[in-house]
Amino acid sequence: MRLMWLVAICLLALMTTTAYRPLLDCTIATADPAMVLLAWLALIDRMPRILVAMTIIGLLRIWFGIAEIADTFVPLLAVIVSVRLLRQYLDPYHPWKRFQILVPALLVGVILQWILLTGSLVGAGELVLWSLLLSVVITGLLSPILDLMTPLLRSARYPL
Amino acid sequence: MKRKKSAYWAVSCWLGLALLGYGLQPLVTPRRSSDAQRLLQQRIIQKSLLIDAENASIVDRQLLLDLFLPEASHFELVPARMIPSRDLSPLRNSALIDRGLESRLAPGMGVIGAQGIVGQIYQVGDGWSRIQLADDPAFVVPFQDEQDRRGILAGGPGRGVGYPKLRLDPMLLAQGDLLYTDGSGGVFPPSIYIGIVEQSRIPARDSVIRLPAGLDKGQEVLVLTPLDVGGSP
Repeated sequence: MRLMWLVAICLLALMTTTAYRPLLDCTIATADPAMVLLAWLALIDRMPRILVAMTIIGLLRIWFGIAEIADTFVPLLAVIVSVRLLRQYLDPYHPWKRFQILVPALLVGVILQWILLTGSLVGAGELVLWSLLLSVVITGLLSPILDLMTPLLRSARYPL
Repeated sequence: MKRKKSAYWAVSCWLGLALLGYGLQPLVTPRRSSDAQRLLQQRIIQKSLLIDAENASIVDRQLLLDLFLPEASHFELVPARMIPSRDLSPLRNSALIDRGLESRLAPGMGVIGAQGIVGQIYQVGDGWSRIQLADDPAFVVPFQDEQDRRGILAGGPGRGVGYPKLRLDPMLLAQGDLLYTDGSGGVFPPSIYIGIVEQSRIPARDSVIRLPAGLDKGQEVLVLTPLDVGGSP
């Protein structure tokens, strides 16, 4: 049941990415709801569940697009690792401090994906500048919604 | 119980947010058809004759073949219909075409449209192929400007644009310069339109190249099958 909800939420996140992509163009890469979901899970959830979410998101992106294993999974892993590193210094339960974990982690993910795709940082500056603000907005919008969803995932780690 | 109820509310809110995104898409998506195509659509509706559309498609394909046949003497031109498809990966740009293995298509083959370059075949199946579009960040193509100075163009970071990744000859791109394929690499024949310099910047790699219009629209395209590797006898 919990896994079913996790799959449903992952699909919802991917659907939101597809829905807002024409509106936000490539800036959706940092403000990608699927990436926000993964970063949010990585904040406080158990590792197996994070890896399940990562696998679902990654496989669907590979099957329904031209993404390759490296440029799909490496950024997702980078986001998870960044969140796990940053949460050692900042409180992941604090409503404001977790922004300081999520936003840099999302930026690390998108920059790494850009480097993997193009082989350089050319063009990434513009991408990062425009998407920085947007990632704050999307994270701010989705985090309260994700917090409300925690009873469906029933993880002991959630303090709510 | 109350918490679970609010969780369902949250899921509904998120779903609503996603549906709102789909609802807003027509406001920002460029018009899907040119005036000529719109006129044709109106005619089809008025006459209720689907055969008109089929004929128009054949005419489109014939026009494309007439346009590019002299340029692409070393290629077999396989006409196909491109269907826009949104890639699930937020940085990648791809589309589908209605030809695949049955037409002896293979990954790496070039795809061109009436406006110019479209992309490259990435994946092939029975009756379908997935194209890596020219504005995909991983797409690269050798180009030459009007003075035959060469370089490498890469797609992205935005939709419908690219940037000069590398200059093979010393060049200063000026706004309005037109870029064409140089024929190297064996994927595209020479003189196929790649794009126009929209913003000229220093360093040159920060310049913005506007790629041919219609990469995100359905259109008739031609797949360039090299004659020596699987073309028709």
